[in-house]
Amino acid sequence: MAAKEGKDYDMHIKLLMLGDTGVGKTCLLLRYAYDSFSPTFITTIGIDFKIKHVELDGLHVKLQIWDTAGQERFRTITVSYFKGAHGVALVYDVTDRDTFEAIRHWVKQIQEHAESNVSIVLIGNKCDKEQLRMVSRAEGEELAREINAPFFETSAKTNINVEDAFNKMAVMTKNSMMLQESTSRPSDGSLMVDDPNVRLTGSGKGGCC
Amino acid sequence: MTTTHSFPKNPSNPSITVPLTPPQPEVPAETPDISNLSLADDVDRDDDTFGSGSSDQSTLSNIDERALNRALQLFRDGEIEEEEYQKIVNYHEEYRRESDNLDYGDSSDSQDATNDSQDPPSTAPSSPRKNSLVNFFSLFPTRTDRSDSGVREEGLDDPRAVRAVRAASRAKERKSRMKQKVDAQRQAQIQADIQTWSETLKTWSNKSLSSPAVAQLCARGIPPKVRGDAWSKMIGNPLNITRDLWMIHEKRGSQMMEAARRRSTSGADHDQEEDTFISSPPPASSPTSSPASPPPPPPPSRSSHSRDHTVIDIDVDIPRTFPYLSFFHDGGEWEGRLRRLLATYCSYRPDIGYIQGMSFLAAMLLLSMDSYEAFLSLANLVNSPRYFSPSYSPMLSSSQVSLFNDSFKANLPLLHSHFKRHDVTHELFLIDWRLSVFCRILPLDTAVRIWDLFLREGETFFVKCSLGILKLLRSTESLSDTDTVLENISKIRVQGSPSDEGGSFCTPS
Repeated sequence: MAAKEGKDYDMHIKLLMLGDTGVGKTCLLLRYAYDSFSPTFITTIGIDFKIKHVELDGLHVKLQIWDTAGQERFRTITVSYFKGAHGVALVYDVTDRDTFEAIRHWVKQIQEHAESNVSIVLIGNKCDKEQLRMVSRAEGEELAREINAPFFETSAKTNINVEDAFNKMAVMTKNSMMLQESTSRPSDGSLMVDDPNVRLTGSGKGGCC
Repeated sequence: MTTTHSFPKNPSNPSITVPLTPPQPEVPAETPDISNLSLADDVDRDDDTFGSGSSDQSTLSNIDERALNRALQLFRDGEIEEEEYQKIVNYHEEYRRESDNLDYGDSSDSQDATNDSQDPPSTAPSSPRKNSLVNFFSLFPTRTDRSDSGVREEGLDDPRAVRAVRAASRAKERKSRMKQKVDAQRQAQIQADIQTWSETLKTWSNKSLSSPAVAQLCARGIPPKVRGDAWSKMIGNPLNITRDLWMIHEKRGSQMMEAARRRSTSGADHDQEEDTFISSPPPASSPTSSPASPPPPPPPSRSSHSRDHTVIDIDVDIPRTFPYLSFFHDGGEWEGRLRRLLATYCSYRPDIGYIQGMSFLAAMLLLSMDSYEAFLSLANLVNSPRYFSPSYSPMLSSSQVSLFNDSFKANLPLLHSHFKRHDVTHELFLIDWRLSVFCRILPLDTAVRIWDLFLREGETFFVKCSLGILKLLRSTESLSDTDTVLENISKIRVQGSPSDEGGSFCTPS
């Protein structure tokens, strides 16, 4: 996949941060995108986003990460961003069981509104607050197995696993996109075109009549 | 309150804040001539040496260097203006240039110095080297007396330097007089405004809102002393809320919050309540706003839709409401007031509940009013189609979107088409700006002024102000690609604005 003309990346991946309000979605994103942690708290009202450029297996990948408001009220807006997303970070707070319980509901939302092949990573944030922990690591792992997603316990505050979690998500998404791309192309490299009005004239020489 | 601000230009810093006060002039990097000198110990000697008529080039040069160092120090300490500092540096440069062409062995220099010392300062110009010395020392305001007298005694002055110093000091005096005058005028204006407001508020009626006099008063900024009353009157009380009603709901709100916390910690599932809650109509006693027509939300799938959960959201959002105003989240009285106010509202309008962004409105009102007034104002504000048409909700109605888009297109056509080209939708900024009425993105003092106008004019002012912010954004915008546009917008949102911590409005009265 060659760099597109005029673009400074080989691949453009859209990721989405989901989870209840206050689990630390914005803090995780700020840590990943800028390696910073703000001691003052930021509410996301509506939708926000950050860009991060990364190298993955020799490819220059541009990650566009959408940060969403966690409150149910904003669901109508955030749902409209589900469609274009290639990967989702599902975040809960290990010190708040409600946010963990809510993950199943979030998974339902994803199944309902997102693309079927979207990659999911489960993240239990605030793992630095060991004394306040209410969700064990084992429970997180079990849920992750259940929803078939890689699992990370992170701390945006003390920078534990943040990079790994996002990178894993990026790699998974990249691989799934590349796989999709290769399956949608015959081995000889010509394009598969769904449009019935367009016919392939010959192998390797895709063109329309 | 008259402070203007600019939006950050540095796109690489995620946590830029908007300074309330104009930035201090940046201290220029040290001039190469003096960067390696460390002559602090010589300062006293410097003074002694000065005026002795020494013609030793290196000594004179050192004095110059020291002078320049001293000037830099004064400038850094803020004792002299950038202009004055620059003047000193220029003199130094001039001296350097001229002294390069001088024969320092010439005894006439020391002769001149001796002669000059007996003459008044305004006599014939002396050599560049001496001029330079005089210039440096005479240009230090903190040493004015000493150096001036020294200069006059020694007669080493240069008319140009004297003129420059006098002009600078006159300019400074003028500036300070002007400032005093402006301050006095402002104070007088504020006093007069307070008087006018008091009279206006006594005879307040529905018509007052549209009177040109009130418009003018609001445009000048409502004095903090009467702001609470003025806001409260401008918002009005079409819901006919009474103190009794407030007391009932305040009690119920606290109970709701307690119950929600208990459930939350016990981990009880309260999904069952959901349906009954969703279908429950608003209290009959409260007139509802005109019916909302946003597309139906996706079916609720988890307990967070219940009122218990929106009450829990209050706890999460309190530390994030004006994070730089610590008294709202230090566990003290103000935090309690804010929490109670929001819980009271949840009890009063369970159909609306707590919506993220509302905590900013509540906090803003509490800064100017007592708890009852703040509740009355919050309930009426959130309910009023004049401010939030058709309702206070994350979903904007199509008429709102088209009002905004049409005004945007008409006023900032280039930016509008740029946004369109790069798929930058209004959702990325307008929802936030609207639900918090700019409290989250603007410094508090600026936001307060915006509110003075917003509460009088209503939603039209919201659109005007949004366009104003976008216009500022345009000026810092390279208009290159979607990311730049979006990131700039997103950065406007992230500002924590701690710079206005000392604002006059922020201190609880």
